[in-house]
Amino acid sequence: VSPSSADALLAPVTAIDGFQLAGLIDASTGMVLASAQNQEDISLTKAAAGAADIAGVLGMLTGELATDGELEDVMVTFDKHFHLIRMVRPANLQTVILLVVLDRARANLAMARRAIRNFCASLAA
Amino acid sequence: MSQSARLPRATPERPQPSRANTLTDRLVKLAAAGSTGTLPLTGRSEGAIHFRDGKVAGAKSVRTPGPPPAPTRLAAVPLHGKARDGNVRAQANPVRPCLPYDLNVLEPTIDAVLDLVVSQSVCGRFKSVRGSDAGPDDGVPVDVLLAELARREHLLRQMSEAVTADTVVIRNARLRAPRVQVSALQWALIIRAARGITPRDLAFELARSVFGTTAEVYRLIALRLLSVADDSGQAREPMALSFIRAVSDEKGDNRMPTRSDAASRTGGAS
Repeated sequence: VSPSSADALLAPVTAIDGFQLAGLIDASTGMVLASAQNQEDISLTKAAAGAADIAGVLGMLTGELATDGELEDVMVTFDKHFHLIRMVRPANLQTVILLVVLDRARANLAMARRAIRNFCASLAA
Repeated sequence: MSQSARLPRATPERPQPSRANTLTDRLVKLAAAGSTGTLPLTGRSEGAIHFRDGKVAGAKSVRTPGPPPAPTRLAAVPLHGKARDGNVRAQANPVRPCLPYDLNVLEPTIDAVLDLVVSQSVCGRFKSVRGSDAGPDDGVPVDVLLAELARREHLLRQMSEAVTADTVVIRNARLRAPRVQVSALQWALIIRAARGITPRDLAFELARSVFGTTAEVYRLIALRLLSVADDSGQAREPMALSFIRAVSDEKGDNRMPTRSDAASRTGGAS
């Protein structure tokens, strides 16, 4: 994806209060498909790899529990950051993870989650 | 703020024998020269890598599926496959999001190059042309591509004791758990593995990347839904696939080369 495409694709997420980093990650391969970042001291690669691992483990939990529900999102709280992970399931059997890292001091977790949910729904357009 | 397509980089590893080094070295040289054209490859895996202005704009390998056709909604594919005591039930699939097409082209390109590198394909004569019509518009910088290949080679090593792209796997006839729930992709893989099939063949059937399919098969082996067909007790029990371990070799530098980095080095926008 070209940088301009990434700009357009992730623009709604970058508008969230406290935004620091966002990435769309292929859950099968762990590859970052597109990203946006305004805080260079966070390693996108490691944050993305961690998000993919978390999603993988919770995917196995979902399989074992077999409660007929799908994993929607994961919120990880650090003392200075929120890491929000949301599953996006496009049409082509692919599972994509959206990772958003927010500055905890400036972010509203509930509002951020709502914005992320709306963004993922907008990908269906 | 920088926004760009980013591919993770692990510490570049080039453990393959001389032919692989020849290919990766050739890619670096073509990138440095800002080449536009096609590099044909022959050998165990044949294919081609397309360059545009020194970036990899696309790649093909006979051993990997190519880019997908125009995006389609697979309304008939079930959202879940669910097995209960051997009985299978599928849910109806709601309308699913569609990602931009160029996101879907990136994976087949990297999948093909990975196969060409791992197969130690031999470089032919580079055919320089004015333009290339393959792949995404701006292409992938070679240093970013090589970093992604190194990451994937690390993951392949993690998986290799249990499964490779050419290992025949088969669906387990009996489930130990009374219930298990799988994703749509996992279900698509399971129903095709009744009589034994390789991850590579599954990838072609589903028009997905070989690497990604192998990783999913690995997870299904870990869940004991698939097993290696001719396992004589040699294969190890799969552990959880760790993406973080694949990038943890990177020390002292928490940033990866990205397309925007590559653009700034060359002084142009990508």
